[in-house]
Amino acid sequence: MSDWRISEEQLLELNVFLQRVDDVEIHNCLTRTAQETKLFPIMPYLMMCFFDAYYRFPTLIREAAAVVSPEEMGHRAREATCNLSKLTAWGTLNFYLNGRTTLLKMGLLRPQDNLEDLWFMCDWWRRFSSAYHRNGGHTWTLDAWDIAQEHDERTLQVLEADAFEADEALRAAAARFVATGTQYSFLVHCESRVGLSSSGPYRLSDRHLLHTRDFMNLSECDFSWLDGVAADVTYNNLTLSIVTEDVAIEITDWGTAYAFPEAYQDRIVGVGLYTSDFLTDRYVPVGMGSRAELTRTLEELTAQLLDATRRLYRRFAEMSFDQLLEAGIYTYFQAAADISHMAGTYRQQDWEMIDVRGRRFWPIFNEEYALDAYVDHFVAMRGEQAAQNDYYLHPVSYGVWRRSGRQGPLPQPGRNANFVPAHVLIDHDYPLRALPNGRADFSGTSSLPPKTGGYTFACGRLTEDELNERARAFRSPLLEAPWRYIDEQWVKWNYEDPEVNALYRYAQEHSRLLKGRGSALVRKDIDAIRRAAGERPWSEVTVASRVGGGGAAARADTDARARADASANANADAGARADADARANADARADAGANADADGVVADGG
Amino acid sequence: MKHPLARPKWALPESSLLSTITREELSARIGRNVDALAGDWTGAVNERALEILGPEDAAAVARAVFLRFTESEGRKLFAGCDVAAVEFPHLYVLRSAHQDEASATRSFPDGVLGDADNAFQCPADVTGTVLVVRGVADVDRLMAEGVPAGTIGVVHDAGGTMTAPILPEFAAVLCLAGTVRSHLAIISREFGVPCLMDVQLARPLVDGDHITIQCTAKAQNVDAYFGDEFEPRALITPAAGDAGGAAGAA
Repeated sequence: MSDWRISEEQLLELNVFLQRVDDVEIHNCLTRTAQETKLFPIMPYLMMCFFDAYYRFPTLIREAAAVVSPEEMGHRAREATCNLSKLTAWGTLNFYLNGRTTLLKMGLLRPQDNLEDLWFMCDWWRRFSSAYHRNGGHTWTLDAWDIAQEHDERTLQVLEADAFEADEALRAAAARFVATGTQYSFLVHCESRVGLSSSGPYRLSDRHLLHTRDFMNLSECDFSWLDGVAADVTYNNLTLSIVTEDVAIEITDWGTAYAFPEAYQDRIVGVGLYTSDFLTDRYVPVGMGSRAELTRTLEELTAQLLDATRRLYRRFAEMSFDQLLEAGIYTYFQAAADISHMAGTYRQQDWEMIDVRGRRFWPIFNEEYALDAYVDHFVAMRGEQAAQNDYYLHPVSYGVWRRSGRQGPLPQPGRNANFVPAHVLIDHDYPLRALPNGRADFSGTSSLPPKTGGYTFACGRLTEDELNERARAFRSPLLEAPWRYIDEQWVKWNYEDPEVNALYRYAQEHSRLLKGRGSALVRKDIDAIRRAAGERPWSEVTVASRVGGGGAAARADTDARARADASANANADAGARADADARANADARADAGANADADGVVADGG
Repeated sequence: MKHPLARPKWALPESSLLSTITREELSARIGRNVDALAGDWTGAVNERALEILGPEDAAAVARAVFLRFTESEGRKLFAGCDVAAVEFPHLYVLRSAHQDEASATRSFPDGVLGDADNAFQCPADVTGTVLVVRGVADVDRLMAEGVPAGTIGVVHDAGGTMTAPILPEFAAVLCLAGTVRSHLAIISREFGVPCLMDVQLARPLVDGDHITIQCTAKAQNVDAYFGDEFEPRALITPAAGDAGGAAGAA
């Protein structure tokens, strides 16, 4: 039994932190709009996952943290694509806190209840996130004006050097892969975006940005509904590096990349592709032998995802309400599963089970009330625990009121942070943990078919036992001294240090152009290396000078073919009709686009 | 035992009747159960959680809420997903079915059917034929038969999954809900399928309507959600030479 007690210093720190979490959540929830879809009971599963997260996350994460520290997990997550990135890492804390808020508003919890759990969850996230974001220094993208820069220079140099300049075929293949992968990911994750992430943007020149798009859980993995239907999807995680010209990129705390102009695809000038997971410590190139191979690989992967999309759609369409609800809950709940994965403490049954404490609420959180409750709790901040007093405005809603010209009445004084009252320092009258006996207190069931397939990694497909075994045996010099403590600030002044050089050479081991180049590289060296390989530095690559040409008409024609391909995948007749349709629309777009492009060329020429 | 959360000093009213009724029924049930317990809250909150509110209590609360709600509102609960209405017809009516009846409340100038937020600016407007996609069964059929050429899909869902297998086949998509940051808008942008969100109409669009949508309008400004100015909305008009589409002909 724990004898933990909160100190005044901790309590004050905790409450300030809770308010910052609230600010970030409310800011993001202002634009959260996909509350309903015909396929999934989104709002019920969203609200219900909060309860399971509240009751069981502390136990599951505590068990893993005893094996791997939050700092080590943060460093591992930065080195590879995994589920602990933006939205999902945020969800690990936020779903828990939302469960706490909801229980508070229902009158089933005091703010001070299960205080050791609350402190542990916040502390774990802060430690993890500080390590993950150690280069950028912003734990929230909101604090960085919606940019999300995490990668180390050694990783970015490889991405910059190795990306292939996109001819029209590669540009189209990359755009089609992003579209298809995004759509498939929404379906895999029951309409949520937890399988998508992004990083960047990173500056390459006065006009060029690099950003990455991560696609996770594409193949057979933790989700039992992917058994069989995703068996032919080769990679579970893929990361696309994208170089754009004259595009602004922003990335939110939910990991979504937004481009300006919105139709940015024509401005993709460079592409690279990688896979990785929590059993790798670097990005492994995929199809990066040549531009043609990369184009072909992206097309093949897109075809795999299109096929899996159709098969998965039919599987979901046959599920019952309760099964769809559970699938949605698991999708969000498993946001934290990589913590157990990395520690080698993963048990499928822990993550595919609805706890009795959460399941009791299912009848109450029907489709309509779940939506109303979500809006009241996390957008409008109404109800009984909406704020501590009647004076304090919420910084986000008041900010919107001011920014919109002070129109209409002032916003209500809502809050969502639910501070821990200082009075607890007097008598420490609070329970410490929601489940005092840890896993022994788990009690629940599942109505989904049990998982039968494997778990897909860069190293192949593994069983649950093999997964845990490999996770426990996982070692990387990147995570051990001295390399673990060689960060950007150290490299800047010590790049000639043999240890720094060895670290860079390790990062460059799979690079097609930087292998063995070491730590002294700066951009002009990368430019020279690319030029020596017959490839242009990014500062010289423009849309107008795309390899192999490719004006607006050519791009529109490629897009039309891409959309026709999607139709052809449905059936030949449908494909033929869509082909004609796409061509007709593409012609119209090409005509207008040619004018726009002409303007663009003039501007470029100037 | 005294319920420590029974009487807050002050509170904001909930934003819906359903939320208020649910809170009242929950408070009453939890209050009764807590009153009947011995000991203190600290010892009971976890150890006796299912005595404070057990599955049977929750089911009773749900029944009481439903009765009060239907008596007051004169309707069943709204469902977003098809399967809820199919499996629990005594509880739910699809929100989209209700919206069909309640839509078309705005007036527009002559020659304009409606307006919407543009998800991304296209080089040309799109003219096509309306096909209203109401649910999973429609998508299943279109997966088998293919989407006819030149179809402008009209959907209620701002989500990206309902139309997942067929989205790229549409000439354009009109969504009756959502914002330009909704999942459907995100996916449409990636596919380059013209997409208008938050469509408001003078009359419901019906299958066969021949319309033009102004995809050349500026994309809606996402910062408008945080207080900045909105861009002018894209217009939806009858296609040139069309006297009012299928609905007009009818």
